[in-house]
Amino acid sequence: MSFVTLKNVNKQYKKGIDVIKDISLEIEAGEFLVIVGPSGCGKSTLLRMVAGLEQTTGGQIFIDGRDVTKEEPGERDIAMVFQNYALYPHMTVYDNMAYGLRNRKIPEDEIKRRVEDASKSLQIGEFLPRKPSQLSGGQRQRVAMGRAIVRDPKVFLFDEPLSNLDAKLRTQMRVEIKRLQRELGTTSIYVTHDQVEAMTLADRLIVLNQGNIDQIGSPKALYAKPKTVFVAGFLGSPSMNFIDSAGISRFSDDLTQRMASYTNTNAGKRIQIGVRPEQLFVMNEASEYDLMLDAEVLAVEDLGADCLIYIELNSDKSQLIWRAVAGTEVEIGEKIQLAAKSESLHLFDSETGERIEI
Amino acid sequence: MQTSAVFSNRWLPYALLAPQLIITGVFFFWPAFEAVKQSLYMSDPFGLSMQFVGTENFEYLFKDSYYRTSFVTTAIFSTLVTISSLSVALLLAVLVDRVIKGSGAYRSILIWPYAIAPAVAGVLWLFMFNPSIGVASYYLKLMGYEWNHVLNGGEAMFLVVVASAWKQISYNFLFFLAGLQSIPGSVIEAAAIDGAGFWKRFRTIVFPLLSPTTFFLVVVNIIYAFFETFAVIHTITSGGPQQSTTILVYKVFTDGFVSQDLGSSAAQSVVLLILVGLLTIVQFKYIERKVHY
Amino acid sequence: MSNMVQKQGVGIFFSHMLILFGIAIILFPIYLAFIASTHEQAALVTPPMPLLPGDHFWTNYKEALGSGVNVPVWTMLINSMVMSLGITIGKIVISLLSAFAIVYFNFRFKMFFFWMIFLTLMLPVEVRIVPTYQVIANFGMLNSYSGLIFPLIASATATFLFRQVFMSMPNELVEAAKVDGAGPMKFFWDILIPISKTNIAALFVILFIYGWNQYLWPLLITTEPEMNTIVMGIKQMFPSGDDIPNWPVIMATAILAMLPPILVIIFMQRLFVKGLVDSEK
Repeated sequence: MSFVTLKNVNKQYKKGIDVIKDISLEIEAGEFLVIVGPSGCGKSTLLRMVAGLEQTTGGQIFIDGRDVTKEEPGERDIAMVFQNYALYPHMTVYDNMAYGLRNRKIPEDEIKRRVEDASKSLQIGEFLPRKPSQLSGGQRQRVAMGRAIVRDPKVFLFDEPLSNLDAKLRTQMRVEIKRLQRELGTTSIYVTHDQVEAMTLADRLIVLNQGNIDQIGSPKALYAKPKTVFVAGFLGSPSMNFIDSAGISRFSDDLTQRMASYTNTNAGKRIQIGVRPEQLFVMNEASEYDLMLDAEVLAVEDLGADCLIYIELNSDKSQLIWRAVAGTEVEIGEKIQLAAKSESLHLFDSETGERIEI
Repeated sequence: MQTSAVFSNRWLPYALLAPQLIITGVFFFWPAFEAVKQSLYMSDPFGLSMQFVGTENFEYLFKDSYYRTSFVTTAIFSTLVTISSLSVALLLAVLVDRVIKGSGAYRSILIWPYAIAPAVAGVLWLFMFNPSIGVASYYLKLMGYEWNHVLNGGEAMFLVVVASAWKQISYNFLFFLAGLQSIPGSVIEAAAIDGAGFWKRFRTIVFPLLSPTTFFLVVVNIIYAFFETFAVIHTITSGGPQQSTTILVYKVFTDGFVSQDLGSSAAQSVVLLILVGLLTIVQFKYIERKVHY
Repeated sequence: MSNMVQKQGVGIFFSHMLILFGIAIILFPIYLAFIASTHEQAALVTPPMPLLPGDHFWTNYKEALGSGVNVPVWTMLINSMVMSLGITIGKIVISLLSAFAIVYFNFRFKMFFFWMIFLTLMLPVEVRIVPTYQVIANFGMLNSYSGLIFPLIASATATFLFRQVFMSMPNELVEAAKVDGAGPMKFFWDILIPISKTNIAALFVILFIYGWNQYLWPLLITTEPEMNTIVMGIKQMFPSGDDIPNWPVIMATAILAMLPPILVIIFMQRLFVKGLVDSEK
C-alpha cells in the first residue's frame, strides 16, 4: 500500500449534492501531489477530508498503512498550511510554532531546537518574539509553514497557501515551497486553482472537475496529452483554442482521411480540435501543415517577450488566440492565414469531451 | 459555523451549558412561570389559600382607575425622560464632535453619570431640591417660587424626570458621539461645497444619517424609563404625592410587597412582561436589519 | 464628522463654552454632594448651604464608615463589593461556558437551548420580583449573598454577547488548533479566552456597574441592615417621620457609593466605551 491511500471516498451534502464522487487515489511517500481545479470543484473538500476537518460520507483514508477515516485531525500526524495562515493572534511566532508540539508533550529543549532550525530555513528567526499582527502577509505565510515543518508530520497539506499574496511574492514562495519539500522529503498534498502553481510544483498533478478526477499524471503528460477538453482548457495560459472541425478552412489529405475513418466507424460523432496558441504559425507557400485557418485580426497585445494576437475565423466567426513571436507586425482588420501541424493538434469528441486518438 | 469548526464531543456541551441552564431555570423561568400562574389566581387577605380566577385579575386591573392612571403616568414619564435626555445628549455630542480637540477629555468626564446608580442620582437631586434646605429650592424661593415636590404632583414628576434623564445623558451621549464619528467626512464636505451651513447640514444630512442610532436609543431609553427608574422614584417621591409619580413598575412593587395583593401584582408583571417583550423584539429586529447593511 | 470643514475661531470658542457649561451643570449635583459631605449638619440645614468645601471631611467620612446611620458604611461597602464581584464573575464564567457550547458544538436540542436563552433577554428582574422573592425565600436564601447574586445572573445577556463574539472568529483558528492536537477545552483555554480578552474586560466593567447599582432587588431581600448594600442602604438612612436626616453622613455615603464604579470607568475607559458600543451591534 502506498503512503497515502484514498479508497472510494465520496462526500455528499445534506440535499443530495455530491461534492466528491467516488475518488480512489494512491500517493507515494515523498511525493508532491497537486490537486488543481476551478472554484467549487471539491478540491478543498478533498484535502480537508484527508486532514480530518471534514467527515467522509463514504470510503476510507489510509495514512502510512493506518486507517484514519474516523480519526481526529490531531491524531493523524498531519500538518496543514491554511490559505489565511490561521496563526494564533495572541501568541508570539515562537509560541505559534511551539503550540502543536507542546500539545504532544514534546520536551521544551527539543521544541526549541526544531523551532530554531525551521526558522533558519525559512528566514524568520528575527520574528520569533513578535506577534502575527506585526508581520507582513508573506512573513505570516512563512510562519504558517514553519508551524507545519516543526511538527515533522507524515503528510503536509497545503490549502491554497499562496492565494492571498501578491504576484511577485507568490513566485518567490513557490520556489521556496518546492525547495523545502525536496529537502524534507515529506509527502505533500497541495491544493490550488492556479494552474501555474500546479504545473511548477507538482511531481504528479490531479485535475478535479466537479468532484471527479479528470486526469492524473505528471504536469508534462497532462499538458502534452490532456485526456479531456476540460483538462486541455485548464492547463496552459492563454488556454487552448477549440475549433469545431467545420470551422477549419483546409485540412491536409492525411488528416482528412484519418478523421473520415473515425466518423465512419462512429456514426453521428463530431470532432472538436484543440490547438494551443503557441502552436499556430503563419502560413506560407512552402510550409507543411495539417490544418489551415482563414482569419481576421481583432486585437494585438504586445507583451514584450511575445505577442498575443486575437483573431476571428472567417468561417464561423469563432475567436481564437495566437501567440506569436515578439515583434510580429499585424494590423487590426488584416486578413491572415494560420496553420498548425498534426502533432500539435488535440482531437476530442464534441459530445463527451474525451480525447480521440486517430 | 461550518461543521469542521465544531467539536464532536457528546456530553461536553451539556456539561458546559449546565450551570447556565440550572441558574436560568431556577431563578428566571420558574419565577416567570410562577408570575403568569399567580396572575390567574386570587389570594385571600391572610395569604392562606389561593383560588383560580382566570383572567379576572386582568379585567379588574384594566377597570381600576389607579392602574389606568399609572399607565398614563408611565407614558408621560418615559416620554419626558427620553426626549429630554436624548436632546441634551445629542447637543453635547454634536458640540464635542465639532470641537475634536479635548473631545477625549470631555468624553471622559461626561461618562461619569453612567456609573452612578439611579438610587444615588435620586438622593443627589432630592438633596438639591429638598423643600427646606435644598440649594435649588432656596434660590427658587428667592425668585418668588415656593418649591415643594412633596405636596405638588407636577413638581414631583419634574424632579424624577430630571434625575432620571440626567443619569442617562452619558449613555446616550456615548452612542450619539460614536454615531456622529461614523458619518463619513466626505459626505459632510460635499454638503458644505453645496453651500449648506452648519445647522442646515445637521438638519438635512447628519440627523437623518443618525436615525438608526436615534431609534435604537429611543427604545433603550424607554426600557430604562420603564424599569431602572424604580430606584429614582422610590428614593425621591415613593410614588407620591397621591401616586402622581407611580409608574407601572412601582405599582407592581407596592401592590405586591406593601399591599400584599399577589394576584394583582402578578397580573401587572405579566402586562409589563408583554410590553417589554414587544419593545425588545422591535429593538432586536431593527438591530438585526442594521447589522445586515 | 465635521473635521474637514473649516470652522471659524469664534464658533469653536462658543462650542467649547457651551460644552463646559453643560459639563458644569451635569457635574453640579456630584460636586454639591461632595461639598455637603465636608460640612457639619448645622451648616447644611440652614440654607443656603455653602458652595465651597468645609473642614469636616475626615470627621464625616470616619463617622460614615465607622458607624453610619443604621449600619457602618464600611460593612455596606463590603456587601456591595461581594455582590457586584459575585454577579460579574459569576455571569462571565457561566456565559463563556454556555456561549462556547452553543457555538462550537452540535448537539440535540441546541436550537431549543438557544431560544430559551434568548428569551431571557426580555425580562429585567423588576418584572419578576414577587415570584423570585418566593423562590429565594423557599431556598432560605433571604438576606444572604447568594440570594443577592443568583437572580441577577440568571438572564443570558452575556451569553448572547459572547455568542456574537465567538461567531465572528475565523473558522480557521479552530481548524489549526485541531490540527495542532488541541481538544475543545484546550482550545477554549489556550486560544478562545485570550483572544476574547477585550470583550471580557469590557463586559466586566458593564456588569460590575450593573451589579453595584442594583437597588430594587437588594431592597427586597435584605431583612437585616447588616446585609444592606451601599446603594440601597442610602435610602434606609433617611428617618421615617419628621426627623431630620443626617445629611453629612448621607452625602458622604453617596460619594462613597459613587466612587468604585466611577473609578472602574476611569481606569477602563477606552475598553469600556468600545465594548459598550460594540456590544449593541
